[in-house]
Amino acid sequence: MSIGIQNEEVVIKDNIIYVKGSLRLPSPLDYDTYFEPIKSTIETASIDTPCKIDITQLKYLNSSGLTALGRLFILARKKNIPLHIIATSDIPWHKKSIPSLQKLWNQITVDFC
Amino acid sequence: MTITCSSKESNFTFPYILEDNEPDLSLDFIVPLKLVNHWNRCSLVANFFATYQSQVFKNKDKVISILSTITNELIENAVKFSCDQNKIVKLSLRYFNDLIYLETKNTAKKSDAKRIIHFFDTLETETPESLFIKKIEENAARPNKKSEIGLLSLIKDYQAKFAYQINEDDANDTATIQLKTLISQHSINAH
Repeated sequence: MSIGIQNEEVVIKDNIIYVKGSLRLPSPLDYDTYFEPIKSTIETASIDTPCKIDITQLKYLNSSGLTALGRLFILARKKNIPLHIIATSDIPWHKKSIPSLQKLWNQITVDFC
Repeated sequence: MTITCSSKESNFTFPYILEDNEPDLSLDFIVPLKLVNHWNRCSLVANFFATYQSQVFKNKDKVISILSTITNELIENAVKFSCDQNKIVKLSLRYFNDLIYLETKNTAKKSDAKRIIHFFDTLETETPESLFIKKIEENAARPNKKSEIGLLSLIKDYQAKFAYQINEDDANDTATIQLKTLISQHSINAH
């Protein structure tokens, strides 16, 4: 187990990035290493293929994590890469924070399952 | 040595009956940020408070998730704005008339106390939603900046109401910050 992280995992499978666990790190910069797979996927993605991120098993993300995720959404905007977020309505913060972050880039689609 | 103190209070205050009641749960603790592996204590305390309070609700999993999110942000805020990492952070919870009242108390630099006041002043002219996006954009441009969206998220997402009392200690250039948070059971059930 790492600092501020429980049951964490970021894996890429079938072109979908899965972010799992409970992430409560002290500052947005502390997320850099952890979110590196998302950043490198956005940086190398093609503009006609959405980058898919599944957070259905991301139980907690603190405000520093939301800021770090928001930075990635802004990076996607700069690179003109569409994002497809797969979230769940069973986790209350997904329903509130993800639609707010969605406003950062008009090519973000969100599916709640 | 003469110690001069001054006090600042938010315009918004809570019903006295809430503050006069003994807390249902309270904890004094230290999270030394120099020892970064202690940071996880914030989450442990938040999860404990949330699980403890969830017992009076029907949908316990949902309530734990919401209360843990709220409490964790309050604790992280108090810990980050503590001037001395060995100073105690106080956290208490009261539940009364379908209202959850959480209070943190910590000692901060006077400059950080002023930032708290400035944050609440900003909310008088900007909506939480627009300020949230603005803060994220600012942080993307200046990654070393603090995110400052913790308390904002609680207002935006859970209709949290805040009041504060700040007692400045001019001799030590510090301030004791009491941050009071009110969450209605209705706003939790609405999720």
